[in-house]
Amino acid sequence: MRRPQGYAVWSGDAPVVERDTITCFHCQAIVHVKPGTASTVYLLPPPPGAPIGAPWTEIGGYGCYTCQRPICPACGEQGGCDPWEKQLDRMEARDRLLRAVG
Amino acid sequence: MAKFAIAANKGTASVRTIVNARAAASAGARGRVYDYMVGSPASPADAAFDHELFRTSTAGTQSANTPNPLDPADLAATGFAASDTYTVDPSIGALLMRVPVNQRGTYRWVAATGGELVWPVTANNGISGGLQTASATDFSATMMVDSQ
Repeated sequence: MRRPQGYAVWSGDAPVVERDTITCFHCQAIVHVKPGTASTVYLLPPPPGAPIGAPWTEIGGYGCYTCQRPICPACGEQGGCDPWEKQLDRMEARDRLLRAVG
Repeated sequence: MAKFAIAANKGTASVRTIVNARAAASAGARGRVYDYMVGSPASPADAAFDHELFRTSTAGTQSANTPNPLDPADLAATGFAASDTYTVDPSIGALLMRVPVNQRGTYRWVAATGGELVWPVTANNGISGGLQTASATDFSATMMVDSQ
């Protein structure tokens, strides 16, 4: 994958498994990407409690048309563009205000 | 900003959190988590665990873990704090990642530049590595952080 935003590797109990990841530009969720798909196919993990070796689910990738960055399925379904850095600025501004007023 | 390593151990308390890094309670700073690796030092067993990275907003009940600067010339961390050996989980917020990992195996995630997880400059807001469900199984994790 060109310019992956992360790399993940499982090792120790089975043949080594490596995956590229993207970090959602809106909420920073980490999504694993199917190899060879240029982040157009995401891999979702099996549900909690699934047995060892349960298959992952493939779904289409998501991108934000406004910021032109990869995003996670939840942010893709929600719509809109609210980058994480802007959310940080709002959180920190609110915290400064609350501290200032006591 | 400097890079720090937080080598943590969960212990055998039935909790979710293995390791936490968060803005200091006062004079905090933003931090970026760029590497996370986890495995279990317990007796090897074939058991599936869902490992997660999630946001937290409180400190919880834990033991302080001193972050080690990767460059010995860097000063000790002042803008953030780290913890492990939780007995009461912190307040858990947004889920950032969930992956199934066999207890026998290890998992590592490394961020490329621009893909790091960032916490805000809000007291005790941070990022934890942990489990989807509380467990008494012991785990060890190392979290690499870029902060001050």
